[in-house]
Parts: sequence; structure tokens; C-alpha cells
Amino acid sequence: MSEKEAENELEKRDSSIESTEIKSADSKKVRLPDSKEVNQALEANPDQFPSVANLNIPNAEKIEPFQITDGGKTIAASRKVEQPALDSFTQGLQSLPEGATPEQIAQMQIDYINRKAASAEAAGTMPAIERGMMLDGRIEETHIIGNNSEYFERMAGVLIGSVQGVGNVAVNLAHIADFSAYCILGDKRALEMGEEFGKSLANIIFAGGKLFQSSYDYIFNVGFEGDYSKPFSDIASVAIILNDRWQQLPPREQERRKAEFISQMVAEGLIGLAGTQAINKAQTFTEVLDSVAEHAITFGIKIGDAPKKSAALISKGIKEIIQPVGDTGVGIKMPIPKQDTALFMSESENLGRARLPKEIKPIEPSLENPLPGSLSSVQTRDWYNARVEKIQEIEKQMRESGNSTKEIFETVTQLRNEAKLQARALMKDQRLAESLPPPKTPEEILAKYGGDYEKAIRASRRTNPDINKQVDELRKKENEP
Amino acid sequence: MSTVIEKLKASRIDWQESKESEFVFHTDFLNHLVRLRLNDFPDESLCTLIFDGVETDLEEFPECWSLPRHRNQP
Repeated sequence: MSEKEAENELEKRDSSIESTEIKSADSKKVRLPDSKEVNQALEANPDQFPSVANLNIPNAEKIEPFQITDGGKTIAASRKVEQPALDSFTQGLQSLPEGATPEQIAQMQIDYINRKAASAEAAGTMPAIERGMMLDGRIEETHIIGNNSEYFERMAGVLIGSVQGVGNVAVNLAHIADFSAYCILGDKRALEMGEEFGKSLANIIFAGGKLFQSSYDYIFNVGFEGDYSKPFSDIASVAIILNDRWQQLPPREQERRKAEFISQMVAEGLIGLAGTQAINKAQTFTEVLDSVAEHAITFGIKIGDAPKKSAALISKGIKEIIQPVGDTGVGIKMPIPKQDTALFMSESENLGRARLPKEIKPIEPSLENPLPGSLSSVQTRDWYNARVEKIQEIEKQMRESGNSTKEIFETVTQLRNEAKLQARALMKDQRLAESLPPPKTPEEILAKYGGDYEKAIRASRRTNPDINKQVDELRKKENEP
Repeated sequence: MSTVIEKLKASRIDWQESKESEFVFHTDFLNHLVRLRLNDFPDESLCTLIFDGVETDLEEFPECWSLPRHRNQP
């Protein structure tokens, strides 16, 4: 049969089908709607074919159904689709079942790291890895054996848990990856995950992981591109978000949070003088966290056993910092607290007396929270004495934790000197405050007590009865109408 | 002594620099050499007057007193 004859035969068959009378009732029902109605129904409900939907089709995930419309005729068809490779860390997470266990998540990342390491090495794109690049100090403790990918795997392990293996590393990184994805997308789950993220981060930090600086170095300095860096780019992304929120806090609130954190870490015996100095100098939120990682006295601390109160403070800090940002109405954007008790702004800073959002209430200056340059010398002393009492509590806790007298002396002196400078900044007479002699250094104080730490600590607790008497008299005078 | 100190506190005094220390100043008052020392406030009193070898701690710096660096400021 020629091609022409074949076409004629097909036309005959088609016209024969169309002219045949339909006798069954069911068939008549099918034929009743016109083609327009059928098309509308298909478009509105394309998947409502249960018998077909329930078919067990081999490799169904690799087949994409689609329709071909030709001259008013719609033909169902399918085609093979290219599956996106699950080599992005977040995609990998999404591919896991909803109820995935931490072990499954961990395994996912282990596989991810291994797979990417192998492919990068095979492609010759493995970045040059320098000793100490990922973790200052920690990496030197790891013996480097074998090839580059093995080294990377080890490094990934060292990144978080070192001796505990990569399992916990993965779980913690998984939380961070999820959290950062939600942050970037503005997903409300970021807020819900804040606490969990904080815990994971605290575990990493107290295991010595300078995560944020490392991730910046890795991505920006080393210049490595691609999915291989995904966990690290996640961390870098989240660092940008956290620091952005941190910068929106008033400087005084930043300092208060740093001071609270230092006090708690000191109380738990986690940092010494160098640590408090480093945290104080930190300009961004992630620098604060990296300083903790660098200076925390964490010898023997196992992953998951991060000091509870300090870890809780990190977790709380992150949760607070990722709260939605509101405009105060005076050009300052700041997190909107969930509870009215969380206060961010002083009434006196609200110069325009703009109406603040309901959730943000102004802080009234008080003795506990005074404004710089607002206190008399008597009030300044009262404020300072209250701080010294807190430092004495820290000293007590350090003794209970078994810290050495040297550590206690250095910490207490440092905190006391900081409180002294803060107190002077609160004085009304700033010209006089700037003329006062600088606080004595720990070395000067120790020399005064012949190198006896215990005597030096005791001396720092003493108050001068003559001064107290004079202060009481002045206080009475100030309170007179 | 307390009367003299009260008089001193109520008088306009332009304290002069001393060679002793940058935190110690002096003045002549009623034909006496009086020294003023600024202290490690608030651990110590704000300042101390030294009059005829007797030290008196002060918790206030009278408004009518001035230090050399303050006089040089606008």
C-alpha cells in the first residue's frame, strides 16, 4: 500500500467511527457534552483519574505527563524528565521523608560530603585546603592522612564535633542549613526554628568551631564556587542576616547583650581575661560567637554537652535577634518583641515623640538603666556598687566551679574595670570623668598585694566606710526638696 | 579644719598643674598650699584635698572649681 492509499484508508475509518450510531446509554452520556465542556473539565481537573493515578508505573518519578493538542484533539503523552541532582544540601534535606530521624539526616550529609568531595577531586576542582583554614587550633590536632578528599572529610568532622565524628556535625549543620534557607526566604518557620538553630550553633561553638569566620574565608577568600560549598554558604548567609539584625539594635543594647553573655560565661568558668576582651571588641554578632569559639575554655567538653546556661543564652539571643523587624516610627528599625516586657528604646531618644508601635514601649531612664551623662557622683557610685555585687556573685560561682584564684582575680578585675569605665560614662560631669586616672591594671593591683591573688580579690570587695558615710550625707542632701 | 574645707569648697579655685603627677593639682588658699588629688573613682572617693598634711576625701567636685585642661577647652 502506497502512502497515499494508507492516508485514504485512515480517513475512511475515521468517518466510519463518527457516523456509527451509539447504542449504549453510557456511551451516550459520554458523548453528550460538547468538546468545549470536555476541555474545560480537563483543564480544571487534570489529575482526577483515580484508576490511572493509582497505577504502579515503574520509574514514575522520571516520567512527566503532558498533553498535545492538535486540531482540537487532545492527546495524553509522557516524556522522560531529567531529575535534578540532589547535590545541594538543602535539596538533600527536602528529599528526606518528613519524619526523618537525626541519624538519617546525618547520613544524608555524610553522603553529601563524601559524594561532593569525590566528584570535586575527580574533576580536579578541589580547592587548595590550608591547614587551620577551617578551625583555628583544632585542625592542628587532626592528623592528616591520605588524599585531599579524606582530608576534607576529616575537616568537615573537625568543623563541629572533632572526636565525636561527623554524625553530630551533620545534625547540627542540617538545622543551620534549614534555618538559613527559611531566613533567606522570609519563611515564618525561621522564627519557629530560632531556638533549635541556637542550640545547634551553641553545640558547634562550644566545640571550638569558629563557624562564621571560617565560612567567610572558605567562600570568599578561597573563592571556591559551587554546591560543594553549600553548607558553608548557608552559614555565611545566615551570618549576614544575623549581623544585619544585630546592627539594627541600639549600640547600648548590643553592649548590654555582650555584657550579659560575658557574665554568664564567666560564671560558668568558660572564659578568662582574653575571652572577655575579645567579646568586648567584637563588632558584629557573629564575631561575638566566633570569639566564644576561640576563647571558650572547653577542654573535655563533648558535643551536645555545651554549657547549659551559656548555650541557652546564645539560643535566646538568636531567637530574639531574628524576631520580625518593626519600624519605630523615628527612623530606627528594630526587632518587635513578642512580649511587652522586652524593651529597646529610651523615651528620651524618642525626640520627636513619635507614636511607637504598640509592642515597642519606651524605656524610662532608671538607676538600673541610666543614660550616659545623667548621674550625679552619688548615683554613679550606687550604680557601680550594684554592679560590684553582681561581680561578687560571679566570683562566688567561679569558686564553686573550681576556678583558680588567678583566673578569678583576672576575671573579676577585668569586669570591675569595665564597670568602672561604664560608671564614669554615666556621670553628668564628663569633663571631670575624662580627667580621672585610668583604672589600675591587674598587674598593678597584684603588685600592690605582693602577688597574693587571694588578698587582691578580698581587697576588691572592701568598701570604704568613710566614703559610705559621706555618700549617705550627700544622698540625704540630694533628696531634700 | 572642716570650716576651712567648707570655705575652700565654696570658693572659686583655678587648680594648677603639679609636677607630682598629672592627677594632682595645687593652689594657694589662705596662705596655705593645698593639693587636690583625683582618685580611682568610684572604687575610691572622687577626689582628695590635702591641707596641712591632712587628707579629706570629697565625693563632689564643686562647680566653682576648675582644672587646667577645662580652662583650655572652649
